[in-house]
Amino acid sequence: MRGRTPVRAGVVGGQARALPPRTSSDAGMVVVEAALVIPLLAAVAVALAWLVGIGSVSLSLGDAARAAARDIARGEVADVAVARALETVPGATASVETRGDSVVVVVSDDVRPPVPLLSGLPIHLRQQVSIPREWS
Amino acid sequence: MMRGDDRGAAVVWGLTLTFILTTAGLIAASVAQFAIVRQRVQTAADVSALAGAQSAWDPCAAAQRAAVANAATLLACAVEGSDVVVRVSRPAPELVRRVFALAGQQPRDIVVAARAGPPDPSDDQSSAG
Repeated sequence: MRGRTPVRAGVVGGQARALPPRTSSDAGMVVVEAALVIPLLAAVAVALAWLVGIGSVSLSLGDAARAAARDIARGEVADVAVARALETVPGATASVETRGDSVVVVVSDDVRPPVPLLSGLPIHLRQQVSIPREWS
Repeated sequence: MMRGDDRGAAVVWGLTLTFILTTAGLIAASVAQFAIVRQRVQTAADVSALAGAQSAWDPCAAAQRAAVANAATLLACAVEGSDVVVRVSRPAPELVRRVFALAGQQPRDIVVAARAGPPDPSDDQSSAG
């Protein structure tokens, strides 16, 4: 910022000498500043969009986990119930594991940032529900 | 700033917008976190009530175990006829607590009630939370 200022001021000053400025001589500065600030705004906007994606996927995963638990409680076979619940969340994966006297259904998915550059850095979301072992 | 009116204007606008967007993001994040935790409490309440309803001996002990297994606290448990009614809670999420702390307040715990009973052949619904 500070390093660029003299260069821009010189250019603007040169123009001002060559022909009288139609607008304020600072108009160029505003463009430079905007060029610096707009990427920041874009980054914040991307972060917001990502956040909304994370929230909504998280809620869908939670819904799927809950639906699976209910189906299992109704006497459905665990794998069938989980497979049916996963239909509502495309791309998600699920696992059913026994821990002590309960069975844990884990539904998880990766949310990728909404920019191609960062898509290699997914956020791993998981929702789990623990149900009594007698059900499954 | 010394040279004219417009210098710095874009930075001021940009930073103002960034601040507003960041604040909006913070609010959105805490609302989302609240919704997610609330959903988990709801799930815990459902499972807890169902576990209680399916337990032959001690419904409330089974409800208690199911609530704890889902990271929630069983506040109340009652057997009403053949139904089990539970109330399950969990503290508000971290982000929500921080936002409330900015105003010098504390959020209430998230409490969800659920009811479950044995499947009833006379009406077509099986046990529901």
